[in-house]
Amino acid sequence: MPVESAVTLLQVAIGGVLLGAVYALLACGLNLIFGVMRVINVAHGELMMLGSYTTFWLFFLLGINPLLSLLFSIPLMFLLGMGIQKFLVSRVVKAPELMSLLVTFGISMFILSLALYFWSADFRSVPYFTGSITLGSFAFSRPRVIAFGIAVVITLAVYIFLKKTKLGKAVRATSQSSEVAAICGVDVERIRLLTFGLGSALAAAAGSLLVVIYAVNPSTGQTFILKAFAIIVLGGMGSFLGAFIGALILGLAEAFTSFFFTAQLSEAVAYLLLILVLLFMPSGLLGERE
Amino acid sequence: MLEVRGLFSGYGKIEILHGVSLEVKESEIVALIGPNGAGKSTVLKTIVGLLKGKGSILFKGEEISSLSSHILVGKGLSYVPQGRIVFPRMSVLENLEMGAYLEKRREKIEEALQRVYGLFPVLKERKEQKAATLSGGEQQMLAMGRALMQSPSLLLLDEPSLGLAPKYVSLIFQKILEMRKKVTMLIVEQNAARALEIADRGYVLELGQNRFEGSGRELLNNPEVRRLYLGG
Repeated sequence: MPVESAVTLLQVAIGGVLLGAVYALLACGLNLIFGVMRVINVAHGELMMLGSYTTFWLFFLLGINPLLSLLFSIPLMFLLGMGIQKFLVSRVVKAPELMSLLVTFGISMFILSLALYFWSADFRSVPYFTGSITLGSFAFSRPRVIAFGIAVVITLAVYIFLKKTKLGKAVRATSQSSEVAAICGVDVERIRLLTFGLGSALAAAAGSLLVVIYAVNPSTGQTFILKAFAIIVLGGMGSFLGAFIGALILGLAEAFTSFFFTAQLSEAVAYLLLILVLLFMPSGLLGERE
Repeated sequence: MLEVRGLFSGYGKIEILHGVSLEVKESEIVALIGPNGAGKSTVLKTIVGLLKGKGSILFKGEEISSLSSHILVGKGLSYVPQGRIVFPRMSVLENLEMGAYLEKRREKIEEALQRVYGLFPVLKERKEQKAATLSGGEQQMLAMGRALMQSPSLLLLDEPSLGLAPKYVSLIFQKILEMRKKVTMLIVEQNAARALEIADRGYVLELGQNRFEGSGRELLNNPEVRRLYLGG
């Protein structure tokens, strides 16, 4: 193989990993909530979209640096996520899973409709970081590299929180058995609240970073939640690390499909992966096996 | 230490307990026996607040029937659920540390840990292993160790020998006898004969109601209890 095509392939792979890290933020949040509550938060994509719009408006109206706007979008969605848990999801968390699915679906539609009404279906982006970074014979889009770096730092921070801190261990314990966590002295309701907030904050971070590299409109959340579903099935339901790995795999798969075929086809890759995993490896890469 | 009066409880609309009463005194082992479906486990779950019931539950003189599980742990009431439930994807050590979740002082946690390791040396050998990789008997010891990390004054044990290999059944009962110097226990067991042998007193439940009560010896020698629950 000639050197140039090897360089090109490597470039494509790196492009895939860069995008994958933003997927990872979204999917890790979704999987965290699923793990602790056995609730699939269909509105997760809309929380991401709200994160994008927070960053967009802060930039558009006040000229605020999109990275700085993470300091607004993250706490905002943390609070909104806790509100959704406290006033809506907590009421159905013990009911059959279909109930929570319907409730979060309703929330998703509600936020989407409001966003379309107030902000229209126009695509928005934040062209703050431009140009590319060259490294020898490689060139990377600067906004993607920045988004990647921040996404990795945030995901890693949450991972360390879950692994090393007492509160993080309580979150993991609750996801493995909420009854036993309760008899260990864990206030399970409080952990659920925290988890919904944390998962939503991750969606917000994904949204804020996404709008820097991608044009976003109110329906973007729907496209991305479907990708996030595929990722968590691939990585293993409930596994934070699995979601991270699954996201990188999807980023790579999409990048190579765009390169060898067309960008339109790359949108289908997530669902192809989803079907293949369900057929041949239903518990995913790092899923809980019975 | 524990006084339950006229307890009604169940799952959703299905009532399983129709007025159960029992008492556990300081440093006793009390066995709760009876056929499947008698509501033995339901009694324990209601006492620890995992199920909501009606009736009175006094623990050290305080009415606790409306308190949540995570509050009761802090009051010295610990529970080992049926079926060796551990946190499977956490290490043995992490499982034990979760037991001491409410304890803030590091030296107290260390002290409790040494005590648990003293009672169950195998947990020390396997402390870095994921709990899912332990054998059934080891998981039961881990679940008991996790509860002992709370240094409880009353320990509720739900079917500690259920589904264990015979060598572990004897080991678990031997460990319970070792624990009796430190902690008061209320034990639910389908292995009624074994439970009554080590118990100071026992209660026999049937269809969610009290049927017999007495010292372990009395119940073991009661012909009707023998015929119904001890296989002749």
